[in-house]
Amino acid sequence: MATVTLDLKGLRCPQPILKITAKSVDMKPGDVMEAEANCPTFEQDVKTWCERVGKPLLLIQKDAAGVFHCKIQF
Amino acid sequence: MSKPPQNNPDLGSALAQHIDVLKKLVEGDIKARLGGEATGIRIVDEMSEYINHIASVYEDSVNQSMELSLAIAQFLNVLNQVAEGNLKVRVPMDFEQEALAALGKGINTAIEKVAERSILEELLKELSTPVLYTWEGVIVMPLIGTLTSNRAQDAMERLLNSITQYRAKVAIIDITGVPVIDSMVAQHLIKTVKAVKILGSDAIITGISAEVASILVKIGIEVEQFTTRNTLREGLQHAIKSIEGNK
Repeated sequence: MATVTLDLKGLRCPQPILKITAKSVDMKPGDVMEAEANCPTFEQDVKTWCERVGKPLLLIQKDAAGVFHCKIQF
Repeated sequence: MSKPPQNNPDLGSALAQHIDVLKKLVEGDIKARLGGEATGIRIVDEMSEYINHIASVYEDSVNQSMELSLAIAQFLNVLNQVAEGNLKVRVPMDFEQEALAALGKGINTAIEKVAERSILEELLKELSTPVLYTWEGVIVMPLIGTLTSNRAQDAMERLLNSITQYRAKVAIIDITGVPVIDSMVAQHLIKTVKAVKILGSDAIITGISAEVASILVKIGIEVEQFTTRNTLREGLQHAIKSIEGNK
């Protein structure tokens, strides 16, 4: 089980989701993806992404600097 | 009559609002719009209208790109599951965009064809290595056609399972219908005979053609390791005698 991190700061919708999608093909069952993004729509986008592909969203929170931190279980 | 832009105290404030909305749009806030009453300055109000119109077009475009991105994620997710052997998974067909619906349909059709082929291959595998329970304690596996290494491996597994299932004392492998074998397949046959012995049963190979015999000798297989008979009939007679003799 590995943890993969993605820095998606500076990218705008739908680029963060496309990056997550592209990386998802390398993820193995049990792996966790941690991503950081500052696109204003990221929270809703990543929730929709997880719902569509059936992956649990372990965490989504925004820090004081406006950066979203998320964890997706594979 | 609208005021001239020059020396208008409202102009600076209106332009600041325009810049603020444009900045939000650039930062990814696709819902940012100019609100409020018309200023009465024609050029400013027209610009507000255009900015809001462009913002709506931009929001639609981003939403469509997002829908496309999510669809790609769903397609990849389904294809990954298929690659892992799950042939029951399908792309959900709830896309609004016609092209995505067509692509989803195409992927599902392809998966259905792969699934059908997989079922046929499984059936063919079973049919290509049949096991017949011919006499009390005797089973026969007639092999027909070219034996590949995979098929020989499947045949071995099936034969061993059948010995256990039927509590067979003798297993006959009839290769009358096998035109040619290579060293890999010959090694599988030897392994099969040894595995049968480990299970406490005897193996007889029947129907070895002149060509196959010649190949076995050429590749250095010691034929003494096998109990062989010329024909299946002779093999069956030998097996029955052996069973009856042990009663």
